[in-house]
This record gives sequence, C-alpha cells and structure tokens, in this order.
Amino acid sequence: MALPPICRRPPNCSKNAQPPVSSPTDPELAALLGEIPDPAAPTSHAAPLRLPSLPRASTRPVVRRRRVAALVGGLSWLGVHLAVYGIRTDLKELPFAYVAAQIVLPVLLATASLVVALGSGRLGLGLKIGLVSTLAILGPASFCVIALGAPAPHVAEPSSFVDTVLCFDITVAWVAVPLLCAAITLRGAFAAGARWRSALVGAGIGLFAGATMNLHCPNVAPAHMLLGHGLAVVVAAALGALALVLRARA
Amino acid sequence: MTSLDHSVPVATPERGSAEAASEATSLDRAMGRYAEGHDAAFGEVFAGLAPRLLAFLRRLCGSPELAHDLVQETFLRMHRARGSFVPGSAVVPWAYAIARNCFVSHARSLKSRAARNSFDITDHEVATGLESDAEETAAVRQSAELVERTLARMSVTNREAFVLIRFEGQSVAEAAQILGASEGAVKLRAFRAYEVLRAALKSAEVGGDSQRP
Repeated sequence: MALPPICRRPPNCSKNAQPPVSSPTDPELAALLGEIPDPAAPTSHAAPLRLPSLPRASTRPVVRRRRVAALVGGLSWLGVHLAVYGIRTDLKELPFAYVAAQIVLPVLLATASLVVALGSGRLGLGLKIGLVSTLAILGPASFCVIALGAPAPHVAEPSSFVDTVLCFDITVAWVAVPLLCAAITLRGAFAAGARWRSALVGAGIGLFAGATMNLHCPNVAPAHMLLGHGLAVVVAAALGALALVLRARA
Repeated sequence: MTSLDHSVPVATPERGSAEAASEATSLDRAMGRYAEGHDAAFGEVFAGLAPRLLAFLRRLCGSPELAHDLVQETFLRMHRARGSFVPGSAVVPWAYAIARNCFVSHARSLKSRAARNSFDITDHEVATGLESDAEETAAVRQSAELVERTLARMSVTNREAFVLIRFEGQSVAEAAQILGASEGAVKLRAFRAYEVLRAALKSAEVGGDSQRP
C-alpha cells in the first residue's frame, strides 16, 4: 500500500504559506485522516437489533415543569431560611462596593452559572465546554478570593471556630436541598461535558447559598468568610462534579 | 411500557448531501415529537439512528456483539433522557454523545475488558467498496485489521476523536461538542491518532517490503 510521506505540514501547504503547525486546519485534517482505511464499515449483513421493552420516561413538557418547580423550590428554600434567620443588621451601614462584591456579584455569577450550565447551545449539547469549565472554576474561586481579600468595612467582632463551623454547616444545608432538586430534575440532562456542567450547576447553587449567607451573617472576618461561607461554595461545586454528574449524565 | 422490534437496515448507500440533510431534518423532527411524548415517533428515530450508532460503536469498541449491546443501552438512555432533548436541535450529535457515554462507561468496567480480550479480529468485514482481486483485497483487509488493532491500543480520547471525524463525518466543532472538549483539544487528539495509525501502516509497509524477494 503506497502511503504519502509522514509530515507535520499538510501536503497542500507550501513552505512559505504557513508556519509549521502542530495540528492542521479542519479541511486539511479531514484530508489527512481520509488516508486511514476504515476497519469496520457498516456491513450488508448486520444482525437484527431488538430493542427491549422501554420503561416509562418523562416527556419534555413534564421535565420542563419539574425544572421550573425545582428552581422555584430551591430559591424558596433559601428565601424562607433567610426570612427565618434574618437579614444582617449592619446591611445599611455597609459600603456599596462591599455589598456589590459580597452579595450582588455572587448572585449574578450564580445566575450566569445556571444559565450557562443549562444552555442548549448550537447543537443542543450545551454551551462550549471552555466557557462552562471557566465559569465552574471562576465562580467559586472569585467568591473565595473576595471573601479573603475584600477590605473589611468595620473591625470584625471576635468569633470562635465554632461560629465558622456553624456558618459552614448552615450554608451546606442550604446547598443540599436545591442540589437534591437538581439531581431529581436533571436526570439525563447532559449528554456531553456532563462533569463540568454538573460542577457548574453545583457552583451556581453554592453561590446562591453563599450570597444568602453573606446577606445573613454579619461577621466580616476574612477567615470566617472564607471557611464559613466560601468553603461551602467549593463543596457545592465538588458535589456537583462528583455526585450530581452520576444522575445528570445521559 | 413500549415494546419495539426493529431490524437494522442494510449498509447505508451513497446519497447526495441534500437527501442526507433532508433525512437528518426529518429525524430531528421525529425526535422532537418523541421528546414531546409521541411514542410512535420512536420507530422512526430508531430506524434512522440505529445503523449509524452501530457503526460508530463498532469502530469504537471493535466488537460487533458489544456494539449491539451498546446500541441497545444507548437507546434506553436516549429514551430516559428524551425530556432533555432540545426541540429544533440535531438528534445525531446528541445520540453520538450518549452512545459515547455508554462506550466510556463500558470501557471502564472489567466486563468490557474481558469482552475485548475475547474479540476475534477475523470476524470483521472489511469494506473495500470496489471489486478487486484477491491480493488487493487481502492487502486492504490486512491494513484495515492493522488499523483496528492500532485503534484498540490507543487511548479512548484519541480514538473517539479520530472515529468521529474520520469515520462518522462530524466536523471538528461537532466532535468537540459531542466529546465535551475544546475544538483545539479534539483536533489534536484526532491528529495524534492519525500519526499513530500512519506510523503503524508505514512500519507494516516497510516490514512487508523487506520480506519481499
């Protein structure tokens, strides 16, 4: 079998036209790959394929209704808890920049995370994985960096490690129910890039819970903000990547 | 409960791109109806997708028997996930992505490895597409078997990228969406697979030449 010489430069590229490339352009790649023979083309005597009985499966209208209900339920869960626990008393005295960085930005990032994670994209397989993975990392990371780096608006009251653990526990509890709702309603939702998309859903839920906690807890100590509030956001993203993906992958 | 029994149609003939596009659109519409709850449309979806998925999975896993099982698993998963299918989008990349998930989960299991070890390469049909003499047929068959073996040895990530672009006719962008990776990564994986295959074919050619009198 006569094969053209192996080279990194596609055969139709002149030496001066393009610099050396490590991977060719799409048509050049298709032309190169076309040289490889097909080992298992569809044959004329393929065996009959029998499909077993199919179980009941939710239709699109049902899935859509359930997802809307899950979203409303998840937000209500946070809202009710915020109402019960109460909004921090020093909110009106906080500088606008602090509120924007600690509360508004996480809410915006959480919304964007859920929109991007659940976006259908051009082929119906979701938005580009680069955007999804970047947001899945940047969302929780920005929350933690802001928690640690934002200048405190006033002198932090002394707080114990128990207070931090308590805040972490509450934030994780706030994450748990929306994450459970997501697990129920996102079954088989992600055909491609399921792990990153699930992580992004987790991160979005975590950011909502973290922002809610920032709206409730008046403690401005950076260590408390990071471990009590921010760590829960990271945990939510990790739970999305490790647990939610098991249900969400189609 | 829905019970269905369909046969996989014979090899897909050469068709014009307009006809293929029309068929794809009709398949997308059928999947859209099925996702909305019209169970009768499943037959159309199955008939349109099963041969493509069978060929895709056969190229990925190398075993016709395992490919059959994986096609069934793929349709079961598609059925369960039908509520997540986005109306108006293309069903083929979606189905490929689910089929690929099935393959990956099977490739990770010990059962799959055992099946792979027992796979006999001589069971495969080699499609020459032309009437040729015995020597030429044997040479093509030999190179195809070599491709099969080399594909089986390479990493799953490189293999699936190569199979999608080379054999399934997907563009780099579509393959990237199906594999959940960036276009650059997919292009690189396919190119790496190509280089490995090309080297294997070349070394076989050199070996064959040196054995000749």
